[in-house]
Amino acid sequence: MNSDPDLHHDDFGASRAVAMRLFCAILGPNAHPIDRLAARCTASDGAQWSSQVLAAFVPVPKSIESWITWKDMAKTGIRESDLHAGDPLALAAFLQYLCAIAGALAFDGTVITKTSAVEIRRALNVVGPLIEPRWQDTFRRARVRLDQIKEIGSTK
Amino acid sequence: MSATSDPLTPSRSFPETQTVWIADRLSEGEAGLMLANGYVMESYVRPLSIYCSKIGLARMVRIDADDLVHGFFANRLSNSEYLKSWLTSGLRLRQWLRNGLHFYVHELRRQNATQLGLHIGGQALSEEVLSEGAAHDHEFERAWALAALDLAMKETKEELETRNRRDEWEMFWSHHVEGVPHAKIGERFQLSAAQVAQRAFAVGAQLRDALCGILRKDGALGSEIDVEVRSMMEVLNELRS
Repeated sequence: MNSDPDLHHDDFGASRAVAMRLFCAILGPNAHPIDRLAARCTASDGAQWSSQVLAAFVPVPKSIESWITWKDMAKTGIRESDLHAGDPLALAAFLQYLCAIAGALAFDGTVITKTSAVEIRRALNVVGPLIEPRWQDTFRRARVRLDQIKEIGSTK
Repeated sequence: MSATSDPLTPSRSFPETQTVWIADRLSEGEAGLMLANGYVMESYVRPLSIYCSKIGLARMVRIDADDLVHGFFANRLSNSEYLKSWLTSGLRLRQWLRNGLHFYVHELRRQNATQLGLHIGGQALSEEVLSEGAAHDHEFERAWALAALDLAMKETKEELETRNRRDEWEMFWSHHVEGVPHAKIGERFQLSAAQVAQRAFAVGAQLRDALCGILRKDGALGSEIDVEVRSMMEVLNELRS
């Protein structure tokens, strides 16, 4: 890869991926795992990588309990320190973890994590557009559900 | 020895007080003004030009985007008060310039219309022009994020090349952008993994300092840098509408 890139050349493709990785390097340990995951997904092999990671998600859960099981399994692969260092295996587990949360939300609106709605929404927004279409749709539906929950909360 | 001359020592953090580089230059008279103007043109011409192209601003006045931005700079920066007005505006420099560009385009359109015996403009011009700019905020912020990073990279590479340390940029790039493990990079440069890690880390800190400098000149506080960088990442990741 050219180490003298013109970042404006292709600002939705390779250049964006390079920029994301450089920003992560600039933030160092302060880079958020969501941003590290986004940087991984936008790399030249990012789409292939995320497809492979998500291919392990079979069969697709058909109950909230199954989604929770998936989430718990993914969580065992996430070590915070590895995640903050951008370790590929930890990022893969984090992507699966995020997909389980999105899947449960899209399934019937259940929130299966203690993470704040703001953080979940940001993760759905940032990572959602970067993964394969089937999961993009799940993330989109999860986001709609999350907004509905927020609206219900605000009218109580 | 200064902090930045040692490749293994990350540069010091910026102080929390806001020291606007442009304000310092403007207080130095004609020579300072030229430096400030030069910096503004070099740093902002590209994002403004890309912005003009993307939102069709240049087409409105039938001028090439680069020519439009250069014309804007020539018109506004020839007034020694222009940047001084920014200092009291409370805006980031990039936002000030983008708003100024919209006003400049409006002026050009009005001139063209007058020549043709037409009339445009009217009441609440400021609100109209500023809301026109705000509607395309995302495009501009995106162009700015890439331009600022580009400038920071350029500055870092030039600094390393001056000290005959271009290899360290390659180590940084291989690890952080291409994802090559430190040990593998070490084989190429005949260094241990730890040595490569130290050098790549130092370059990362240098790049961060360069970006900090650019953001501070734009009007950001030292304490806001991480927030700024995160918002730059977000604007790059947002969905195309």
